[in-house]
Amino acid sequence: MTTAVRMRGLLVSEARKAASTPVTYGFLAAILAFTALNTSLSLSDPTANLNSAAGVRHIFSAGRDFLFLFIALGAVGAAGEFRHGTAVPTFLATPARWHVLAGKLAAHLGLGAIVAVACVAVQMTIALPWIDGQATGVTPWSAAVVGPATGTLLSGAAYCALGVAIGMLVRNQIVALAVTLGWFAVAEGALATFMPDVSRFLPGGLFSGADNPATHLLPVPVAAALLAAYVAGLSMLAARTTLRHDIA
Amino acid sequence: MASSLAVRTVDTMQSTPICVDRVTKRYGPVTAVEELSFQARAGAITGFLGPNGAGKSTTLRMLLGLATPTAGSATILGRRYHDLDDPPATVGALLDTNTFHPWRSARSHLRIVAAAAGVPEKRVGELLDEVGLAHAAERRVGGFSLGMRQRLGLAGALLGRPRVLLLDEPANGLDPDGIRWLRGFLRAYADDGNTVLISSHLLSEVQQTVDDIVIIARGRLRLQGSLDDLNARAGHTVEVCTTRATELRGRLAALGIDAIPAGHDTLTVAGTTAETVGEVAALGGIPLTAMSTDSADLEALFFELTAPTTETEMAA
Repeated sequence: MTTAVRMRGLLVSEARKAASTPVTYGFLAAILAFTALNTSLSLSDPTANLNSAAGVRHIFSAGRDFLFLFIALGAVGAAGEFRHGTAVPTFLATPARWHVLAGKLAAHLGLGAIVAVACVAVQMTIALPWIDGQATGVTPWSAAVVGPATGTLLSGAAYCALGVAIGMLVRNQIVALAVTLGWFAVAEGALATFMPDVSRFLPGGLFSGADNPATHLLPVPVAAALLAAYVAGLSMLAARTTLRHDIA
Repeated sequence: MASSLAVRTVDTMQSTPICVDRVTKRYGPVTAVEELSFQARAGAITGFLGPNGAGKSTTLRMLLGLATPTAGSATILGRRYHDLDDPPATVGALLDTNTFHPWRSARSHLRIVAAAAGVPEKRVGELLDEVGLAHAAERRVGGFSLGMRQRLGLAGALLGRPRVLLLDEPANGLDPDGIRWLRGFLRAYADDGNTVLISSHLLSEVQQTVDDIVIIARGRLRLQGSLDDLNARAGHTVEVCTTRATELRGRLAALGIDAIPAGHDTLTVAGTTAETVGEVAALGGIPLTAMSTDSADLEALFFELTAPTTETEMAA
């Protein structure tokens, strides 16, 4: 079996795992619900300026507040293998553990992108009719819509892969979730308050300003490259440490 | 108390389907397996026996690359598991029954493993039929009985049509019908020239299935040999009834086999197998009316072999 055939099989296997795991649908529902809620709240904010491109961009970046859920989705998908013992058949079928890691990263990039597309669809379904009644000239192809939507798509895919790296590194599903939520919901928030110059280089802050060129945050290409580096770094760390440990 | 039966060279390591060579596994201060060596041959079922905590599962995990030996090597067909060209097509393994996502169906579980193993999807349906789970293929594994999980695990092990099977306590949870099916299946599988290694903590559970036996206790080898070797060592007895008991006794004595009269037309024969007694009788044209073997001593020998042998072991 060639490496290409092996990797294609791994991708199919990982996709089937995600599709047959209830937690995938739980996260999907949660992400869509929070996106819908946040978009609605942003639209109903009396200070929102829907006549400006910046205001529209702000609305379509509302879903970005819940990117940590994409990380949690990836983390649970990876660490769940160890919780349920399915890591045993996984590593028996594919003994090269970094192949499994690569397959999971690729599959969750796709899964994150699919969920992100659903988020964007929800945002458009809610926001476009709303904006249409209060402003003019905003279409799904407007730069103020496409920009943030692309950012959501890229960041959703990348954060889901980042979650996989965290899950493979930590291996314990509960700890992986706690680390994810603790870091992205608490630690980075605190750092953003007290050390704003540092926080823009941290995983959670990278894409917060992707749709807003006026902020002091990193440009999108740099942020994307740095996020990819975080995924690669954590994956390599997992491959060289915990992934080498015995499988219980 | 490693038996002299265990003293085998490893010069045939390259061609041996399963070869464990001076393997040691330590978890911190705890030594799970120590200097363990044994082999399993093709065309035979080898019973890997020992009490709970003896190191059987750890050894199987080392063979499968899921655990790394602290020292020594555990190879299949002369190679470590992750060095095999196509592991799922070479080795099938059933380790425990908690390797399934409870929300997935049996079919879904097998489809996931099949995709990763490069096995055509139609094989999934075939195996569900073969292990008797076709009726439960779409049910969640979380609702499966232990026996059904064992059958599903066996189906997973067989996905790649492997030449070597490693099964950890495969009869656990199976009903008598399932055990009979498993015995027949494994016998046919080994008779096709494949290699089977099955672990158990009960000698009686595998006694009717295995050809060879490896007994370990506290991570150390206690005995390796054929079941006949073990029977002979156990002082295994055969009770035989015939109307020509005196004549049979004489023929056995001529072969150096002791037979003691045990009632009317009955002999108790020690130090041989039922097959040998039957052959001797047949050669002499002596009709046998009944014959049975006494395995109580075999069980006693198993306990003797696996009992603590040193003060350190007794204190452990």
